[in-house]
Amino acid sequence: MAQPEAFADTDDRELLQRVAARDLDALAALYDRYAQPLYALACRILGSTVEAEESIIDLFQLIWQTGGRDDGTAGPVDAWLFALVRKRCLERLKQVKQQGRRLTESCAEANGASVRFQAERQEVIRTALATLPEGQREVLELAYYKGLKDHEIALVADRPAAEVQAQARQGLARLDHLLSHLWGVLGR
Amino acid sequence: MMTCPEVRDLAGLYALEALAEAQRRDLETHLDACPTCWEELASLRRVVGVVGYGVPQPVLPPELKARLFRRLEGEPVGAERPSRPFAVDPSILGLGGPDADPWRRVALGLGAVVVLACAWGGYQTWQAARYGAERDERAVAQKQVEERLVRSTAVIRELREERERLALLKAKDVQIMTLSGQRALPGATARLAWSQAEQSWLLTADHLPPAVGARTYQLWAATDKSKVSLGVFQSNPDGRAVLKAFLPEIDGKPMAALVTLEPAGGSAQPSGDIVLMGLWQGDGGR
Repeated sequence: MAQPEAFADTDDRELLQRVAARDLDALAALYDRYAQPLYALACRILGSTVEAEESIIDLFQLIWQTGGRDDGTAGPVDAWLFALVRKRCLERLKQVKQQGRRLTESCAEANGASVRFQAERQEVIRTALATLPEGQREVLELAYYKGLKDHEIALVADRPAAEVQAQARQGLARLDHLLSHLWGVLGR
Repeated sequence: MMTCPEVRDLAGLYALEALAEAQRRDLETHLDACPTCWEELASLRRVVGVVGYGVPQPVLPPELKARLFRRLEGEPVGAERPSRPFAVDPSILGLGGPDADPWRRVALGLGAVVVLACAWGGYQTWQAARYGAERDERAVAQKQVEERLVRSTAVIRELREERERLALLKAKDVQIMTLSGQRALPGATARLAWSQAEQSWLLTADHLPPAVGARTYQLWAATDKSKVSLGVFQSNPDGRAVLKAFLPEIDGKPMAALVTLEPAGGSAQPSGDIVLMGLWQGDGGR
């Protein structure tokens, strides 16, 4: 199997093309690049290391079986992977609830020395999220990590639907502004 | 069909996939015909695409990759392995000759089965050892690469942080305040710099011993209306602390900056000893 650095200069799209051409080394490189942040997101949604690990294995198995990308868009690969793992984790969470199972394995937080390529990006986005007003952050978290719909968010957060709408829009717009500024500072 | 203002109101929820099915369809019908709304939504969806990076990072179990690839080994991956180690001509064992004694054929047949079973077992063991050794070598090599990447990432991060600090200190609107040690820690000193243009602040503190017990330092901006937490931090064993973060929206006229000792995780309002304090000088004393 090729060493990970063999793909250091290969961009995400090319990696996916190689996966589609049944290149197992390319799948390994894609895993090395994104398994850590995807696992972290799975842990955040599911709150269980066991379920998160299974989600990650299922995800990469699916990518291998389907030969790469199937959403028909040209957006960034990382955004596609996040969307994919989020969707699968929310479905898994729903199943767990339907089956009346309890998730007992907890995901301990850690400052992963294992974070690699995306360390800088993670820090920036975490900081940007932390600066959002609490109401906006809460709406974003309930929608993104819990998969709640607007009326459910209004119910859980105990606020009018119109306020939820406004906070979702303002929160994302503010994040967009902050991130654009930060990428500029970091020369990205 | 929805109007543009209606779509704008729902844009955030749509980007977060938090709209009910019927509303989502209505909105998409509008998007198909309205490039302006489409553009606006694209930027929100781009942001949602990276929100996943913002979560704490539990360490990825190192053995997870091996588990994935063991599972994939059951899939067709292109490279064919031999279906059997070697082929045996039955006549070599005297099984196929017309004059062969039936008992001899049975005995030889059984013998052949035993030999083949042993050979197959040996082959499997050899293959397992070979694949095991290759896997170990790969794991060692990968670990070395990951360690190098971690070291490189740390250096790059330090350089970027230094560049950010310099950018803030060179900003045209930078304001700098000196904070003095208070009764709890009279020898401590700090400087707080902030810039609206850079939307960030930077604190450098010296002679600040690491907080003991389950406590932490917390920096506050005090205005005539409230005290706003700027963040919690720890100092190094050498008594130095350097941290930088976003400038929050502060309501009211700035009066002072404080550092207090608070329970781990910080407090909603200052509750512990004030260890450093600086007063707002109007022009920031630059």
